[in-house]
Amino acid sequence: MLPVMNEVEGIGLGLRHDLAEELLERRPDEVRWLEIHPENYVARGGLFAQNLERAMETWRLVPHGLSLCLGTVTPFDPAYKKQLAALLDRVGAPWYSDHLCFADVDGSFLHDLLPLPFSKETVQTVKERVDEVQQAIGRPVAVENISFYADPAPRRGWTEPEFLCEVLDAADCKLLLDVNNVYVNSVNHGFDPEPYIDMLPHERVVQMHVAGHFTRKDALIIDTHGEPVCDGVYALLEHTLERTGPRPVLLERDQNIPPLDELLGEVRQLTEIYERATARHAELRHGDAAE
Amino acid sequence: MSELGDIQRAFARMCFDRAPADADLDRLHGERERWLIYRSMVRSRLFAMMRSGLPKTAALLGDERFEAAVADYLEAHTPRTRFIREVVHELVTHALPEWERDPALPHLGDLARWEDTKWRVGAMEEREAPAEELDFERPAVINPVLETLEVTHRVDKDHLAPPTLDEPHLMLVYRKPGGSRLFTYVLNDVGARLFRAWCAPDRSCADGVRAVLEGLGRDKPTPRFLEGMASVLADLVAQRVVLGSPPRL
Repeated sequence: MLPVMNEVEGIGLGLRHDLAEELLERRPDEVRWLEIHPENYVARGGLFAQNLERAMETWRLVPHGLSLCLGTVTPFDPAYKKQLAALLDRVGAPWYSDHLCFADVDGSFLHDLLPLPFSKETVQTVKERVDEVQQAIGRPVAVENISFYADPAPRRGWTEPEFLCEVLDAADCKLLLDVNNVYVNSVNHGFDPEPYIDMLPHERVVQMHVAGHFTRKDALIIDTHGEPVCDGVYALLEHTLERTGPRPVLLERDQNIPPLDELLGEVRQLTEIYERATARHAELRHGDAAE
Repeated sequence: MSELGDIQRAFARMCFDRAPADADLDRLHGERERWLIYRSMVRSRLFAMMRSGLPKTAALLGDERFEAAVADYLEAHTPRTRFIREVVHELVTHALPEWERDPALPHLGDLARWEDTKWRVGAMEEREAPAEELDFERPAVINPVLETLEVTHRVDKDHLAPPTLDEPHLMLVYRKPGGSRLFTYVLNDVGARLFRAWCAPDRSCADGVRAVLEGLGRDKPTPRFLEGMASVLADLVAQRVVLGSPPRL
């Protein structure tokens, strides 16, 4: 497993187009780091390139990909891997994360995060893709668990966290733990999210995501990143941080983006949870050591 | 045979075909309604991106026709790019032959190409183009963050019903060095000939003008030609389309 070289801590926000101007103008202290989607900056000039430069003046940037989804059967484009590596070098990325899903096949790109069957073939495919990316970019790769609304191969042996553990073990990679996605899946598929969190290898977690979601009339939750974070996700985040210790947490907001002050209110709430939970984690560790 | 590959291909067809096939939905197991949520999410994200890149084209076509064009592109072509912004260009490339033949909207092709060009130039990478003050007896350095398109309608002035021009005009779509704002500058036939002549990297601006005059079948420039040329060149320099002359070694 490649070591993570750089520390990124506290609560971050995404450098999203709708938010960038005010964020870069005000540079609020509450925001400790920024996440970027490399696809928005690779081979691109103009406003996006300028915003990237301005953001680097103040914040550590952490890249989070949208298109090297690690379960695709199609090998990745060598040219894009080079472009990605160059961008990661430029921003001094501590790691690179992308999703445990597929988003393209045979050269057709769906531009969404699509579910994988929990199968041995999938585990092997993800391992190959993680190896491929890790070799190309020379830094650790983290996979992110996704929300899913249907299972392409139901009634198999593995539960979602079991499948995730199999992937992490086989690919020997890091985990970007999306706490909101665990919550969303727990509601949509009817399981208890805390045991899910508890069974993960916490030492592999390098980053977390939280977000808001939309609940349909039929009670199905859609992971929109377009609403405030709900209490259930806050509680699950606290539970998670108590077990992992300090890990950078991103507040994802990609739609219905509110005024920055409203988002900063959520950032402050997350910071309180972060500090309380990581202090509790330290107490528990010291307690363990004392015993 | 790869089960994973089968599932992914069925999924892509389920999302991109004009109507999802029963066989593909069966291949995915489970509740069809849940899979159709994915189809809706995939398509609505792509529709939104194409609409935001081509707002005036979409408005001119109307919802039904624009969505039919997108649906046709998705089924026949499918997005072939990992950069979602580039689906705008893919759609225009796919739909342009039909749009250019539309007798009811003769300017539709020009409008779509202009919006697509603006969208692409807005994202073009900044490129170095060192230059010193323009010397008319030397070549010009042209702004590299620029694309041209020939049009027969001034869709930049009126996207609903622009009159047909007597002669094709050349649109320059560009960003100024270090800037992010987009500009469109339009040249008539003679202006376009001059601009193209000044784009030649190994010919002086003066020789370019001589070549244009020769192409127009004239021995000497008229005062009106000289006045027009000077005005265009001054404008192009002021607009940072012409950046100067190459630095002397």
